[in-house]
Amino acid sequence: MKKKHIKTVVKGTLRKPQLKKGCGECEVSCQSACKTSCTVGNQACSLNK
Amino acid sequence: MQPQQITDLKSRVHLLQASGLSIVFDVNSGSLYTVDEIAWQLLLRYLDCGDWEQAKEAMGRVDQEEVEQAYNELQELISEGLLFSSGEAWPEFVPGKELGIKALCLNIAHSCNLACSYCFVPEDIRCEQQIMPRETIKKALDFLLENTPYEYLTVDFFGGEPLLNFDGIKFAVDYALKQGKEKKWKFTVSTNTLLLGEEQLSFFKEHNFSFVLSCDGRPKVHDQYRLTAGGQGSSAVVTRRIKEFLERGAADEYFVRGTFTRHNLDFTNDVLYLASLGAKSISMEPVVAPEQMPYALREDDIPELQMEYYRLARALCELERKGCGVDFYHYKLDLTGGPCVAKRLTGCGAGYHYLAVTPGGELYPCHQLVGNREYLLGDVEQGITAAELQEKFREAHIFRKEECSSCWARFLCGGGCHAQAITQGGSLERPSPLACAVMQARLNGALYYMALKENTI
Repeated sequence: MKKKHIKTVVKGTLRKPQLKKGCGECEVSCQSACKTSCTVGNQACSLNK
Repeated sequence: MQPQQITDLKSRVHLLQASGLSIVFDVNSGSLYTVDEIAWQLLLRYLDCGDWEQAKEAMGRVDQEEVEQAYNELQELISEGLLFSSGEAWPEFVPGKELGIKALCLNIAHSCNLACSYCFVPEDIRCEQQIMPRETIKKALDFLLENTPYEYLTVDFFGGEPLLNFDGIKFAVDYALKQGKEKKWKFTVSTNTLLLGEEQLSFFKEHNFSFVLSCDGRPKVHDQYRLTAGGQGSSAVVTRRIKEFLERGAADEYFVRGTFTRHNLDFTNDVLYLASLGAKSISMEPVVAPEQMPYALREDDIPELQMEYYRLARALCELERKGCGVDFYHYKLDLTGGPCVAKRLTGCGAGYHYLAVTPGGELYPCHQLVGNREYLLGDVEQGITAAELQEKFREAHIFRKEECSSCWARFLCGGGCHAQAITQGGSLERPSPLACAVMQARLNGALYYMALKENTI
């Protein structure tokens, strides 16, 4: 149904790990740019590369 | 509805308004919406009472047909699991237990050729003037190779100023590639740029290094803190180095990284300055400082900081509209294909997924805790000798932290910086309230940026 009152910006798919407990191959959050102020929401999943 | 149920409802969504946009973020699914005034008011009333019929009645004189339509649209999202969605029963396992070591921050030189007045490295360490010897480099990389279960390994060369030990960097890369032939290595270097010359850039290019280039932005801002030992500003040289770096396309992956303090809460201007130099990937980070320092961020800076993060979002959209967009590191949220929930629960992995190594071979949970001997984990000779301490880091995931478990930002933030929790919050399990407020302001900015892009560009 097309919505009049709501606009979807992102249909989120916050996922369960593809492997049962996370594969751990992803980049370490603090390493690549900030070095002082970690965020995880902007990190890439190595399985998607 | 019981108060506890209403609290639970509130923990599932995050609502914010900025510059005419009403934004709704569904915490557990990661869905993001903009809504009109009727849907916004209906949501607010529902969160007050937890009952849709009461919420609709409380809309008063608003056109009933419109209210019903907004209600139906909200219900559709709820039934699809995209609004007020429930979380998983994650506290059943400790995700950090499954993770091994995969990244080292090699403090290849504790010496530095700048004397930045806001540097977070303790003075006694800065005065050591230590360079990591080859034997320590070998042992550190052996430790990584012997203990890692992973294929992809990363090593960041950090300092001090790592280029003061360029020979050590070359040796480390050569040793890693020879000893870990079967591994896929990623090397990064965090540098103040002063020693980035032809030889260094060629070597780094050959080995596909990623860079963190330190520059705080406008010359007057940069020169306030990033000083030579003689007290001179370094902006002129750094600006030249960064321009050279960008013009020659020295790396596929880099961030020009600035620090902001309470003295430049208008840091959007610094991001724009860095963009004007040609930087396409920019990061601007809050200063790490004891609260008594005059440049340290304070709680009463948060409202202004929030407005600045919104202003930054508008500035970035404007650059994109003009066709000269840049990536701001913290605004690149990926709500559809980002890290898995296990990663979102564990955050940075300091202490077990990531370790810092000092020139003397000591192992610390991360570079920010170097020198804090209470958090010394071991050394490259003996490996981890403080196993109980390491266990504490493994267990410090968001559902073990009271403040995090109901926070709307939990899956975007990952529990925040352990080092800040320790130094400002008082313990590993208690995030610093100020750091949380800064993080939330920045994430609000990121959500606003995404919503703004969708609505304007």
